[in-house]
Amino acid sequence: MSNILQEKSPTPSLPDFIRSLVRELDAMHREGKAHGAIKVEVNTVNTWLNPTDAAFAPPRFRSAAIPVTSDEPGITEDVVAFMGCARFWVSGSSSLDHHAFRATNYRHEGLPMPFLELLEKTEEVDFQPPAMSDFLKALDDEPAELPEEPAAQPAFELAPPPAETTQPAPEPAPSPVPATQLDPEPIPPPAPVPQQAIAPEGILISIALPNGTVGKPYEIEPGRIARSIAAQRNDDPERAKIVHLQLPDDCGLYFDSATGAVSGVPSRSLEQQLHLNYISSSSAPSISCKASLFINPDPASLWKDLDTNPDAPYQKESLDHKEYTLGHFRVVAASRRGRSHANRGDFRDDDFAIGHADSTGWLVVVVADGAGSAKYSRQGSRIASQVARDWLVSTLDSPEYANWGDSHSADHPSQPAKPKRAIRDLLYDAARLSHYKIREEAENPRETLPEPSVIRNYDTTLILLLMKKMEAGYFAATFSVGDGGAGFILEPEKAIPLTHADGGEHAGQTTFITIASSLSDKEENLVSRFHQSIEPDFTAVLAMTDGITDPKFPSDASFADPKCWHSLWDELKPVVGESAALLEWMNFFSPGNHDDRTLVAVMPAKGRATE
Amino acid sequence: MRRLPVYLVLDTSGSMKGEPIQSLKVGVQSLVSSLRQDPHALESVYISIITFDNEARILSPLESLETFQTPSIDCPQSGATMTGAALELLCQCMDREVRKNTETDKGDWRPLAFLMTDGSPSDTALYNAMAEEVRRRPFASVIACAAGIKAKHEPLKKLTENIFNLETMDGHSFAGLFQWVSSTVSSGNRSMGASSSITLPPPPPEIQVVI
Repeated sequence: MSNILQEKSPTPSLPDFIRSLVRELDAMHREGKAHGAIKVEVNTVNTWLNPTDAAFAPPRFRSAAIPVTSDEPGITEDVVAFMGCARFWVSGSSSLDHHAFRATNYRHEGLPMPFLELLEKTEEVDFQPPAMSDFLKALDDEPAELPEEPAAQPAFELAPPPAETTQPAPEPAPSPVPATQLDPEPIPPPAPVPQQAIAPEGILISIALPNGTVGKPYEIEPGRIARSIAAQRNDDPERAKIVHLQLPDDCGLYFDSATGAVSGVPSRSLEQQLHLNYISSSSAPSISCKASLFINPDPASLWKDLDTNPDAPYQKESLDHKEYTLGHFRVVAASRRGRSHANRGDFRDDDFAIGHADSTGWLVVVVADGAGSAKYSRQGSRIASQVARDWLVSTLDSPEYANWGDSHSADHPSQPAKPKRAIRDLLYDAARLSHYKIREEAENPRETLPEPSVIRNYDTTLILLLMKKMEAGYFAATFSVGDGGAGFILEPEKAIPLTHADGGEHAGQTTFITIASSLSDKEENLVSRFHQSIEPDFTAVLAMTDGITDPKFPSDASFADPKCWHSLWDELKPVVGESAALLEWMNFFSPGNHDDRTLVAVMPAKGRATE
Repeated sequence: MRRLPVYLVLDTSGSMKGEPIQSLKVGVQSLVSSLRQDPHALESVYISIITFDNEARILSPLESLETFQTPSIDCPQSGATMTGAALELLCQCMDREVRKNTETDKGDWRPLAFLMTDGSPSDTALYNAMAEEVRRRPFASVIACAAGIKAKHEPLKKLTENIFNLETMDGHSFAGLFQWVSSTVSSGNRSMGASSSITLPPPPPEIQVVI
């Protein structure tokens, strides 16, 4: 962690900058001119807070001013924009993560209290923007530093001042609000150290604290901040100390002034400049420093669940679940839109289809995952699964397949290639048919599309699974193109992967049935796509898209590891009896894995399988 | 965890002095802030910043968005624009840092690279060689941004087809640029499946597509 507490450039005096800007805008408005586009320059102005040269100065605003009549909204717009900028500059927080501006929090910025209070007042909902001259008057006051403050009173965490003191001072306010009201919230005990704040003239030391994340324990060990500042100032790190660090209210973090440690669990996101007081030794005066702190939001809290566009072509439900008892098999299936799609109101791209050749006992399961990069892949996956399922069921629902495998078992050594090839050819033909039907759709869409389509818009993976109960046991055969996967779960502690995922060098790289080369009839291609196995008994066969395999099988090695299959099965056992429960389980949270998820579980019928 | 590496390659030559470099700094900051509002990015994006002027350097090594702290970006008074050296460094970083799939570990997403320059390369020969090297590597996308009137488009065409032009170099333009970079990173995060390049979101009005 060497990048912690990195040094930032020195900051110039903020009060001087604000004074000259207010004078400039006030003079402009008196002349009946307004900038009118001050908001546009906000980003530029922000850069002035940390300039490395003096290329920019407020007179630029004046040169850009345009004449307005006195009641023209241009002047008000200038004031409103100035107020927003000023709050931003003084608080150091970004507009992305806005918190109430409290004047008392910024007493060390070297700005008069009436000015800070006027800024605080501008946040009220029905507040009427004052004139720039009011800001100018408020600025005429002495800075809000409290050098005479008694040592026992910490110069922070004050309750808001009484309402009447926050008036936009029509006359110079008599004196800054005395800092007597301690915040009733429990706060770290104040250090018994003289609070002699140094006016932020000249160079301010600014450090960056390590980032935190909402909900994750955060800690800066004792003395670390002080040592980092001591290093910048060439002080003795052993004697240096932080006597005060002002953390925002209710942020979940606490500063221990006895040890200089910061700890806690952040409760909300922050992007803020914090004020801290540093002493180089117990007898030295305290020095004001700044520390930037960024607390990331909890990623889980940022996901949105947006509806899909009802006018888009190829509508698809975000959730789907089905369960059947088909011959010797119990089939429970569920498919749900991933968070990454829900976050943008995109459709679910996954699909599945299940069928059964009743006269012959063949079960057909198809799982398909449309590519996130292809705009109509939801339709590609639907066509692929339905076409393959329908064709396989109708083909297998014929007497020639009724006793298939019983007289000559698929793995029987005396019947080497022939029966194997028959099933493989059947699956290969189903995949090719899906490819052609998708191509037909691209060339001749059944729905109205905004522009001519191409097959790549329908990119989808495909996993075909056939099962049949034979004399020798339960037979399963697969043909797969792309990622995701399928496998046999057997007792005890055995599992047999039934697919080999197509992957590239990097994450997310795979192939699709819409790419002709993936369906080449070359023997090595077909061999790698086809798998089969026959087992005397089985617990389950699972067919899944990568929304499930990525989080549950983090590598190729784990996909081959029966332990991973059984730990997945342990999770599934309580929910796999009912497709609605399975669908609910599929909402599990796994960082970085937010794709659509589809899982089809095949178990022996009659409820034998779940135990 | 599959990471999405994002390399920002930024011109800090003398001509960037003043408002442009300040705007750039604010732009990078706003990029980081805005990506942190994207849950997918927050979990997967890793950022590295390479800057170049008289030489190229890794200003921020590849680090997760969660822990990334925006560095101070400075530029010298004057001098050369060693864009070629920057691309060389980019290739070295990518070869060293971006993980590939192995039997036991999932690889990273293919990285994104953004090059921003306001001039033309001083080290032309190295630049031409390195532009080829970058093209040979499996970046999901390489996006070049020519900022200001002095930026030359021709050299950038050797590097990538994705060239954008930023006419002015004020805060407003850079804010628009980096907002767009942010949405590009977010969309890259979701659409990388196919072997083809990612689809870029439409740029804001401040940015013109260079054909």
